[in-house]
This record gives sequence, C-alpha cells and structure tokens, in this order.
Amino acid sequence: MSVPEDAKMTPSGKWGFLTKKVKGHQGMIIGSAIVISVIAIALLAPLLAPHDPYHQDLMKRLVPPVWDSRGSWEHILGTDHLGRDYLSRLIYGARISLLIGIGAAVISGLIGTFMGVMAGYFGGRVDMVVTFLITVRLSMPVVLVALAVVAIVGGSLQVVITVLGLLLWDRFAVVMRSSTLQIRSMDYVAAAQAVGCSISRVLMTEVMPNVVNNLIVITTIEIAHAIILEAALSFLGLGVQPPLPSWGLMVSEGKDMMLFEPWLITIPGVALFLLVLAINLMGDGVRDITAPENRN
Amino acid sequence: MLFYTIKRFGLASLVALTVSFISFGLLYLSSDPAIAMAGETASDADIEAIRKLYGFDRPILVQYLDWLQRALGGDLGKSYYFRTDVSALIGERLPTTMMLGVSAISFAILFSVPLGVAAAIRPNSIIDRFALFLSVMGQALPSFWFALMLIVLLSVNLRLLPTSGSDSWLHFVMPTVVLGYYAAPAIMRLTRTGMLEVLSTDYIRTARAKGLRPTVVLFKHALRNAIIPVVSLAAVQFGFMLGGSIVVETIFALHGAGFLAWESITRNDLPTVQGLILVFSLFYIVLTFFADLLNAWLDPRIRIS
Repeated sequence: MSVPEDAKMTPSGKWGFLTKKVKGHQGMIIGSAIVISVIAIALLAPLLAPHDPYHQDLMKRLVPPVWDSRGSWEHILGTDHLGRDYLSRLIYGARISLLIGIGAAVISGLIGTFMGVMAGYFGGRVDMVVTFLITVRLSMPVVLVALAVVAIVGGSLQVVITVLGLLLWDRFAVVMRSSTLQIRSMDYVAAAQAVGCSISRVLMTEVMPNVVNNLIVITTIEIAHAIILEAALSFLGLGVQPPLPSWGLMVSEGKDMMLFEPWLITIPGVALFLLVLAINLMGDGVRDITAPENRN
Repeated sequence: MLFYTIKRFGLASLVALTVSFISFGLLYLSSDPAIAMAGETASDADIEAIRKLYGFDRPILVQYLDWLQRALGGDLGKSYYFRTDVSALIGERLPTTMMLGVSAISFAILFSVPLGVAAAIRPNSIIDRFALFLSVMGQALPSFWFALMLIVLLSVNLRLLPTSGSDSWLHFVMPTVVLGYYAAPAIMRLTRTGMLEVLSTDYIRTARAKGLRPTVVLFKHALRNAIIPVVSLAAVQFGFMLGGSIVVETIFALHGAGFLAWESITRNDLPTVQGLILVFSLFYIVLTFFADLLNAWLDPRIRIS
C-alpha cells in the first residue's frame, strides 16, 4: 500500500507544514505584515520620528500635510494645534497603543486563563463560582466603569492598563473554561492522572499545550479590544492624559477643528483602524490555521 | 419550567446584588466623597462636618447596606451636582437612551440577519465574501472616529443630517448607525453559521424533496430554527449597547443616560454614577434573564440540564 501523496509530511516537518498554511492565508500575511511594521515603528520611534513629538512651535500651528498645496516636506503629516509634528506624534502614539493593548491583555489573560482553566478542570463548585463571576463581570458596563474609575484615580498609562486589564478577562475565562473542559475528558489526561502526575503537572504538560492555540486567538482579540477602548477613553478625556501622543487623544484634540482641517482626525483614526484590523486579521489567521473546523 | 424560572431568577438577583456591591465599593473606596462634595476651597473642618452629616465616617459595609435599603425602595440618593433625586434624573434621561438603543439594535438586526442568510445560501460566493469583509472592517472601526467621519461627510459636506441634539428623528439617524454597526458583525456571523448548520440537516432535505418552494423551506423551516441563538445574542448586544451609548451620546449631544453618565463622571458626581452603573447592569441582567427563559421555552433541552 502506498501512502497518499498529500499525507506525507514535508521534509521540514511540522514547521514546514505550518509555513505552507500561513503562506496560503492572505489575511494572515497582510495582518502580520502590518502588525510587525507597527511594532518596528514603535520600537524604533526615536530613530524614525523626524521631530520631537512634544516640541511646540506656535509659529507653525496647523500646517497641513504634504499632499495639501499649503503643506511642506518639513512636516509630512502637518502639525497640530500646538505646532507639534503630526508624523512624530503618530509614530510615538504607536508605542502607547501597543503598550496598552499588550499590557491589558497580559493582565486580563493571566486572570481569565487562571479562572477558566480552574473552572474547566475542577468543575463543580469552582466552576459555579467562576461562572458566577463571569456573569457579574458581563453585567457591568465596561466603558462606564472604566471611565468612572479612571476619573477618580486619575488618568495615566499605568491606571488605564490596570483598569482595562481588570475588566477584560471575561472572554479569556469563557474560552479557557470550555477548552479545558474538552481536554479534561481526553484519555491522555486520565492516563497522566493514573500515572500519578500532580495536578500542576497535568495542567502544565497536558492541558495548557492543548489550549494554547485558543489562548493566542483570544489574546489578539483582547489586544485589539483594549486598544479601541483606550482610544475611546482618551477621546473622552478620561484615559491617557496630554501631552502623551495617544491616537485617541489626537482625534479628540483635532475634533474642534475637524470641519476645516479634517486630516487632523482622519490620520490618527486611520492608524487606529489599520492596527486593530491587522491584529484581528492575524487572530483570524491563527484560528483558521490551527483549527480550520472553527472557521464559521 | 417553573423550577428553571425560579432558579434563574435567584441567580439574576444574586448577580445584581454582587454588581451593586462591587460598584459601590469601587467608587467609594477609590475616592473621598466628602472632599468631592465640599469642593476645592473647603477647609478640613468643613470636610469633617460633611463627612459626619452624610455618614461617610461609618464603615463601608454599613454605608452600603444603608444605600442598598434605600435603593430597593427606588431612592438612589441625591446628585451632588444637579441637586435633585438621582432616580428622577435617570428616569428623565432614560427614554432617549432607550429609543436610541431600540433603533440601533433594530438597525443591526435588519442589516445583518438578511446578509447572514444571503451569505449562508451560497457559501464562498461574492455575497458571502462581501459579508465577511464588512464584518472584519466593522469590528476594527472605532465608534467615536466613525461618528466623527459621518459628521464630516453627512452633515458638513453633504448637509443631509443635523449634527447634535435630539429634536427630531433625523437627529437619531447617525447615532443609530454608529451604535448599531458595532453589534452587526456578531449577529451576521451567528445567523450565517446557524443557517449553514440548519440547511445541512435531514429535515431540510426532506422539505426540499417534498417539493416545497425554496422560499418556504428557507424562511419557514430553516430560518426559524437558526434564529433562536440570534435572539439571545441580540438581547445581550442590546444590553451592551446601552453601556456603549455613553460614547455616542457624548459625540452627538443626545441628552440621554449615557450623556448623563459622562456629565456626572467629569463632575465627580458619585451618587449619579453609582445609580447609572446599577441601572445599566440591572437592564442587562433583566435582558439576559428573559433571553434565557425564551431559550429554555423554545428549546426544552436547556431546561433539563
């Protein structure tokens, strides 16, 4: 009997197989390309930014971007109402968005994964408590609670990251709970328990590796979610505070002049949209590649 | 069914109680209401007097129970800023938000259910791809920015719609779209998945084999079954929308509960903020409670487990 051609593994093994799948997924490629560029821009901000993002020049307020007839190459994307270089602020703004997205997702991921895995693995009372906490969390209006807490405690990068991290763990908990529940009934988990592995060992070596794909997908969703929420909070004036170049704050500062200088809100908005879109495309890609059956 | 209803009701009440406790603790522990009330120019003695007068010097649990007792009777306290009853204030603003919420969820359903059905009839067709494209785009669009772009395009450039206020139905068009589009992708995807699943079942094949008209099979046999989970998703999304109305109402200056939330947050008006969190959560809890009951009624398997 001969093995069917496509059932043979490629010489490079598992990674070659994965690379092939990634190459066939357009969304994944576009998404990753944008995300990697934004990360690079954020890391290399001091080298890439043509000006100091905080330097005000009141003689050069509201210079339009270069494609406008009044624009110049000195300020490619123009300047804001305080004469600060818009491109430089946009570049430094990528740092804030990524920092908040990743920071909040790490905090909420730790909380949610812990709760979800515990609930799924132990079931019974633990599961009841966790399910109850998830319901409580879902019943609280996120934007309202986040705004209220930031208003009271005072807006700063750390506060926004912490507040969002403490609010966005619900999806992690829901998905980790159901994936762990599924893995828990597998024979290899029973085998590990029968051999006498400790609970933490079963969780780390048998359960976690099998739920990590789902974890990655949820992480991308929550990073995107946190970035959008931070922008909305900053836009309302109760997130990251000026003079930090948060994209949401840039839209908010440009809002009053949007009728005459619409590029002031278009540019940071497009940046925000592209980054969130790219992260979502990447997440969808990871899901399609690791679990094609969940695509619908 | 009765037992299930009682159980769900008990759970919903417990959730409501926990939410109220958490939000109370969150707001009152992270700030000093006496300082907020006295204002910035007050002396230490004034602050101390206010603390005694309003009972802020008592333990947090006592204060919470006191607040809860009055809240159960419909008294949410007095607003620091507006100097009126919080419940009356919220009651006055809620209709606008409800109207916005109802029109937004209707918009989302009317837009995404037909699109989801059309996408499911021909998977991987142009319509399916277009629906997927729209939902991916929609999920990445920040609502506050979308709102501003609509204002620039529709009000300023085309002069079609008013930008702010709540005088006529025209004022609700843009807020409805901005609040509704966010729920649309999820509803569309769930409709599509549900339809795909139902369309591949045996009873659909039987119905088709009997020679029933395709539209009858599609709407009477398939959609009726596929729509069940969509109903409860729509209820959940409606609950989320009221929470999201804060951004939309602030931008379009619609004087609803969301706008009130923003006003009271920026003025440190804790009783109003606390009352609004309670009302928004209660609304969500009641919605999911009825959605659960509806599901259990439509699908007996849920009741039993």
